[in-house]
Amino acid sequence: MTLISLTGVGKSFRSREGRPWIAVADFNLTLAEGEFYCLLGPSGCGKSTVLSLLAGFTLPSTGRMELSGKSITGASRDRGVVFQGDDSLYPWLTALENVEFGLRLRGMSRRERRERAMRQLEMVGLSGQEGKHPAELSGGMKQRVQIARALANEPRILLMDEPFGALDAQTRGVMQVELRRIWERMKVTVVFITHDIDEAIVLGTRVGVMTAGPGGTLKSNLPIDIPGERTRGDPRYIALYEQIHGLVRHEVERAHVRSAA
Amino acid sequence: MSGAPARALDAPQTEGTDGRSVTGLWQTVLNGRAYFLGFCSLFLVWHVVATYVVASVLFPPPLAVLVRAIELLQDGTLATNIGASLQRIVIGFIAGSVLGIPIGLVIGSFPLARKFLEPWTESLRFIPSVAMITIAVIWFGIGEPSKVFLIIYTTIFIVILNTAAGVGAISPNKIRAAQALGASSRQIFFLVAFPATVPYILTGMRIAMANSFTTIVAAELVAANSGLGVMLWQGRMYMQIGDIFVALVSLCILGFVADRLFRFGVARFAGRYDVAQ
Repeated sequence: MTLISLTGVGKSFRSREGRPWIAVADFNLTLAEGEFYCLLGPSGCGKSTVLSLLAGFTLPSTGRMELSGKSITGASRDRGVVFQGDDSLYPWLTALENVEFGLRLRGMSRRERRERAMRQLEMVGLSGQEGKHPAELSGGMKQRVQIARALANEPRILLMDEPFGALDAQTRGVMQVELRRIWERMKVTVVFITHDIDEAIVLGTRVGVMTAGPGGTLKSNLPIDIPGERTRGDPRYIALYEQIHGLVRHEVERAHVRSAA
Repeated sequence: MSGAPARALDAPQTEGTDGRSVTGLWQTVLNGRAYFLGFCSLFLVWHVVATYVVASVLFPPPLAVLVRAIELLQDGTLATNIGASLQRIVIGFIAGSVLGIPIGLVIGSFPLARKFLEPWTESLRFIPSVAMITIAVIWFGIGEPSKVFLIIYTTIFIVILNTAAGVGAISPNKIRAAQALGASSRQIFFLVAFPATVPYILTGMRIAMANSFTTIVAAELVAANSGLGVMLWQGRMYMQIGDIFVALVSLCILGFVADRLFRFGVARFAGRYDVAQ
């Protein structure tokens, strides 16, 4: 069932000198419920702009965006967001209070929201850490808190903007496995922005590759039909990696030529 | 990649942050001792210089000052004067902060308000509160109102500027996260913007507190019936060198204690804030 549809979506900004800057152009995408969609592209292609549009932080300059047939007009709690950095967490609140935040906003009783937040923290592997403040947590743990905070609110879709981009390779690997497990358990739809091909194949059920910016758009969609755990030695993994790598490299080269011209 | 969930459960431990170590505790004890010794050296140097180097009635040694302080404590003068100065500082400081915080929040939150109010803050804050003493006395007399006015004047601009800077420093992602969690603009203001600004507000208040001491002494020197400034002035008039030194040492102690209390309060209420941000 279609959850989100983007039709001819474009976003342009005005530079400081007043010149228009096209970040995303003619972006078309349909997402089905339960998908784990990875949006991949070279830096500057506008993939974070797409996420910002999906979240409703910015509105499209052209085109239509719909969630279950209803037009997206702003941020809403049916679309949870996990940011790359930890600056979205509230340092004056404990891990538990951060996770409760969304529930508190809608006036849920203290006991109920505490119970829900604790369950959520347990799912992201943070049992026993609920009383700590973000400053006392490692980078990986802070991202876990962010994921728990977004999921506690029971969004229809989870939007993730390079959430593991700032983590060390070891932690990132652990977090990928964790996220995959959470997704399997929660059956939540995920849009995951990354520039890491490996990450996209390990996580996604479908990978979208964007063209180079400015005015980036969706170049192609590839389904990842490797069931269960993905191992990097799997011939299907290797074939997909080669295929996607070719697509992305072509775009990076094009961006290079364009900026040199 | 089999057995992933088990590995995942172990993950928080491997990612854990360092706890406070034994060497850290030892360091604290050493630092505390060094601090104490630092104070002792201050009095020792004072004693040596006053007794053996200067050796003049114009520079009494610490012991003589202590004796005089005890006398002044016994006849109640010291307590009266300290009480008068402190009361003015506390009233003016609290009033200045209570007025300054909302103004700073408004300036930080609304660009239009900033445009309108900045000419006020950006011109008035350059008049030192000491320069306002004469007009304050003409307007409000030599009683309490002129002192409180001056302390408010000292406090308010620093608090406004720090509060506004704090609002400006909130990372957009904090606001966005709240929006995506369903927060209304009212909830964003009270549950995100305000708490995120608290460390900046407290910093502004701490600086303002220090400035309040400067201002109150200057104001009392010029016109007042009581206070540490009056003590200093009368000491000069009647050549009571001991009284002057008692007043100076009192200022040292009061300022130090007030700052420590403030720091303690900040650590207590805002220690969990990431002050490094």
